[in-house]
Amino acid sequence: MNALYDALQGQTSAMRLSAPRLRAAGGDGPIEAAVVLHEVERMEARALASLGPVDGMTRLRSAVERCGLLVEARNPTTVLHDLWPEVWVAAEGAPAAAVEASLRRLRPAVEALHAESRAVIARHPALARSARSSLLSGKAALIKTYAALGSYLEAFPGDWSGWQFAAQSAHVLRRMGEAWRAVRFARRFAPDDVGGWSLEVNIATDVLPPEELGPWLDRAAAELYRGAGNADVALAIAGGYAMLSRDSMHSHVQRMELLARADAAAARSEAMLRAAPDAELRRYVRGMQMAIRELRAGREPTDAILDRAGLPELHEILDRHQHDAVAALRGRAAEIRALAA
Amino acid sequence: MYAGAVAPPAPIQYDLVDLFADQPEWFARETVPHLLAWLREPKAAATFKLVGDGATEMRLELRWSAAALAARLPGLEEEVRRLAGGESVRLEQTPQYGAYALAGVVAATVLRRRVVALRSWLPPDLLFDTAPGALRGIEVAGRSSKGLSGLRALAVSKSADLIRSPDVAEGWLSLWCTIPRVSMLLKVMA
Repeated sequence: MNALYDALQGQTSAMRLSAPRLRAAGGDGPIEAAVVLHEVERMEARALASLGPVDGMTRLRSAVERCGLLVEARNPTTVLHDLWPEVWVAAEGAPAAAVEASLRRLRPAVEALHAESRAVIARHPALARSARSSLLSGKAALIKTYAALGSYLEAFPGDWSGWQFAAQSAHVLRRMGEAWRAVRFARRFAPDDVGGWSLEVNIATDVLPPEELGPWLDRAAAELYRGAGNADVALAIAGGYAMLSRDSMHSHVQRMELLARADAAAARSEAMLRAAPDAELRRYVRGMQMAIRELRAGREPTDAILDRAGLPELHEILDRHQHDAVAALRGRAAEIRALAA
Repeated sequence: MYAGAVAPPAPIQYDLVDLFADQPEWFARETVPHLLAWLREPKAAATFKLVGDGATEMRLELRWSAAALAARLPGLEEEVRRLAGGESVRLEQTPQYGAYALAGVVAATVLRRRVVALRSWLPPDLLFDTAPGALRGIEVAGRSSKGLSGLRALAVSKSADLIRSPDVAEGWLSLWCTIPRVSMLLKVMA
């Protein structure tokens, strides 16, 4: 037998059994239970992959379990968009009678989850709009959507895309503590989602005190240089270091070291864009590199860099950022990239 | 309907703390609190009538020491209280997980088998062998009422599901009811 498969089976069994206990603990218990169930779902996928080519029934069994885990985790978005369709793909390779028996438990559970999510959205029509249109809809409308999201996440604590949207909304509304809590949950649910990671870096830069932000960015950068992340994440890390370097707690030497790290992260972002071109992001990276060069030369970047980077539209938001070109650049990049995600 | 039925030849006396040795520690750790919440038994003992196919009947005499269990499970009393009063009961997870603990007892004492994995959404629930295409395990259910007639009805649908799973090489049913306290243990597949 496959030793990795056996080990993963035992480990996931223990974890999934712990979910009701976590849920019953109250407070954030239902969210913690959902986080565990998402981790089990990822491990289940790894366990199947460790087997190599398998028969249709084994593939169906794994797809049913993974879907069921996220039904239990109350994540209607991933269940309905990804895992329930995957069950049907897997079912194509299994005998018809076995498919019927395999879905006897899961099908009503998926249908019930779908009906519940539709009912919650019907009670809160603001949730029917896309995240992008909500974030662009103005503060008053976003406040309403954000309140509705709270009700939604109470009903579906495992919907990590909901947590991500809540983090984006809270960040835009400058409710930083709530943004940080939401993005931390979103990241734990889906640690491989790079959109969530760049959002987390941007929120961390605004939320964490300077003495915590430095080590936090160092850990994120180490992960980036190990090959994780994408150009968005690298730019967010560069922006984080650039903002941190301007804190008065740092000596000149420390400031230069932080700016060197910012420069390295921006260079990584630029390199990643060569592999996956993105003209809009490229302009923000260029602007950040210009700003970092100015800071390393001991000069405060002026708004002229916005024009040189091809971002003249950012002049309009300078007021909101106290005429700080670096803050405007970083803030706008975070908003724009959140919308792109 | 069933390929075979088994009931043990003598009453089974079992101290619940032994489940930590007879089954994996994680299994006992996560199922015993649910069992205690489900049974709500202040006398720290419970006897189940075990029924096989046909007329075979035996007794499972279960007992436990709260102190011995608490030594393995710190905070047990509080956890049992939470489980008994919380959402888990409404969602029927406490009867289900409590029944897992009882099936673990039967697996250890009657079948002499050790649980190695749990599957939630396809039968069998508890696996003795996870070999793809040749699973061996026991399908479990817990009910809080309807007694033997309810379990018999449940056995029909659960047996059918096991039989229709082409990758199950050996399948058992272990069904439990707390009011009245009765259980069925059936071998459904080779």
